[in-house]
Amino acid sequence: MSESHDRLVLELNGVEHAYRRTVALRGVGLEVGPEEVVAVTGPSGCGKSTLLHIAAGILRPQAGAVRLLGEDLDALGEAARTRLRRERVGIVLQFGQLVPDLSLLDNVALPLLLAGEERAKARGDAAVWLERAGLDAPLGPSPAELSGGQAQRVAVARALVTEPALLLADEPTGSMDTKGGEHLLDLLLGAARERGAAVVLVTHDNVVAARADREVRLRDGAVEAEAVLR
Amino acid sequence: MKPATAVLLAWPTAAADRGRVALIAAATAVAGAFLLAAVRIARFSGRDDGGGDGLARYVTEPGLRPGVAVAVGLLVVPVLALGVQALRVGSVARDRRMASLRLAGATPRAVRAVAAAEAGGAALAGGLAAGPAYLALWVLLGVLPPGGLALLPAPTPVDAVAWAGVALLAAVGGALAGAAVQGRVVVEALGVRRRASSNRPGRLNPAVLVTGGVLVVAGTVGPVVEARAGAMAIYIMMVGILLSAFAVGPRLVGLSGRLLSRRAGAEALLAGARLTADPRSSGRVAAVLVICGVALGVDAALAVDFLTQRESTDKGFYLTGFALVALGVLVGACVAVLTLLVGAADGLLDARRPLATLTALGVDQPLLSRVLARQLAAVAVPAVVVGVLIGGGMPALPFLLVDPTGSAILTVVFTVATAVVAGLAAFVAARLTARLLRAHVRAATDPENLRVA
Repeated sequence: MSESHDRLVLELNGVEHAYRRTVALRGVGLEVGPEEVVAVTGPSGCGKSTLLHIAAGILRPQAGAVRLLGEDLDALGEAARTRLRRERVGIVLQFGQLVPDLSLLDNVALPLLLAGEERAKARGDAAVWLERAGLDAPLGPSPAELSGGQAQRVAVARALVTEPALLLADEPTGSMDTKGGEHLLDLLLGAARERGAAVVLVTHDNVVAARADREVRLRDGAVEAEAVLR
Repeated sequence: MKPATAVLLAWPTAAADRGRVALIAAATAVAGAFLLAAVRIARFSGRDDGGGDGLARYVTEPGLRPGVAVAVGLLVVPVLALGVQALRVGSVARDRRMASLRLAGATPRAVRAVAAAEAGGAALAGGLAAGPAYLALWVLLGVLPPGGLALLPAPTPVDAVAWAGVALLAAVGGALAGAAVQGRVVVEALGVRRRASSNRPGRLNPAVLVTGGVLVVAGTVGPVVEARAGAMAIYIMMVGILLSAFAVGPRLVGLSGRLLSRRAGAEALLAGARLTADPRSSGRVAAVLVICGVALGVDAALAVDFLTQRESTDKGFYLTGFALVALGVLVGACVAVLTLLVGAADGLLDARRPLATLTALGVDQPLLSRVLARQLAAVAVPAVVVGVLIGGGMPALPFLLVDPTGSAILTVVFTVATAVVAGLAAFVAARLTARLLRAHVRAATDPENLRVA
């Protein structure tokens, strides 16, 4: 394998996936380099979320290969894939992703606790990220009391708290107004650039896609077009 | 809304609805059968009514009969707790259906009427099935066992008035419970939101707890002060235990949750947070397990006292009695564990999106199974241990007050040993329950659930 391929953060080759009779992805390929921000766009039902789930190792593709941070996901067992995702990948989903029983602070601290971090240290780091996200950690409301935008900011703080090498975001501004969405993207992309993390943004919003370095457009489960934006 | 419309809309069509209705009906039928059996036992007029030898003497012996009737009646409590838990099975799908009714023009009151009709109908069916279930129980315990092993005298017909009473009580109780459960959910045309369930005990909880505690103390010290208070003291104590247990159950679960949350690691944090967020549902199971523990503790303490103190020509008869009480406790505890299982399975279904999200974040399924096991153990183990210690303490306290010698101390030691063994058994039961739910955990963490709103 060439040196340039070794440096890729994420590499998908000929990925195919179907839900019963509905084909979600047909031979999709995608390469994401270090510190690169890639927007995956396309209409509803074109396979964007499925692509993201496969990239994260949450779903196993029915055909094709996925290399995540130099690891062949097909060769890894469930536990190893979970560990890789937990330690080196940050994920932001569209909605309902906070654990309702936990405080905001514990929601953000959770990935660190799962990695075996001490409670006090994990909460300390979580408080820093919550503050950056504009939320008051100790006095903050419960997840159920948050607006959609606030919940997304907490989710972004949680995705960033482990300082991942790759951030995967599925419609991160989907439940927010324009201004709130912009603030969220500032936080997400700003932190990613600071830490040198790559970002894959799944979105159907052209304004969000315009913030990326490159756009990959899907249609009917296949790559329709690619464009370098900056 | 016309009653016929409510019944039509309440008719279970989806698999989850049919499962809920079947479980409510089954629990009501079994509870009704125990109630009918308790009434029948209490109404025996003496040895000439059905007669009976061997184990049946526990029922025909006039001195023991009231106690046996009360013990059989107490078995209703865990089965009813299962019935109440059954009301919440498949609630996510039901709430969505109710929301679509609201969209079609149903008022909040009409939605509650549909829920009441469903639960009331299921409970009525269970109440009607209680008669045949009672006869089946009688055949199982009174006819099929050979010779002296028959626990009940010859089968007697169902008391028609009691049966009708059970069916009516079940229908009314079921309808009220169904409406109450639906009342905790705000169903609007555009969706459903659950009322934020308070993690604090209800307003009446302190009063119930104090009343129950006073009754337990009165029942415990009563016979010491006044020897003739014996039978009445037992009934007072029993009411006190029931009230105290249901007041203490949610508090015990909440405390377990808080203590668990303070321990290191994500596993303890997740398990503790779940219990702290909703201690009431698990609190009912904890209450039943406290009652089982109390019964076991009393049984064990009295058995030790009997073995060390009393001279009796019929020792085997009484020891078998103690063993039968322990068997009854085991039945009650098994029903409580089944309730825990049903509640946990439904909880997994309810939380499938957050659970799928946790998996996406890197929480593996074995860890989620361990979280569930810790959560269940934190409900079951403290409840059983506290129950046994209280139960054993109740007879041990008068023994210590009257004669603080070796046998009283032996009773205390045996009570503590029983608490340890029962606690271990509860721990194993919690682990087994979590193991049985592994497929549910797997289903709840399916990535497909990330698409569920």
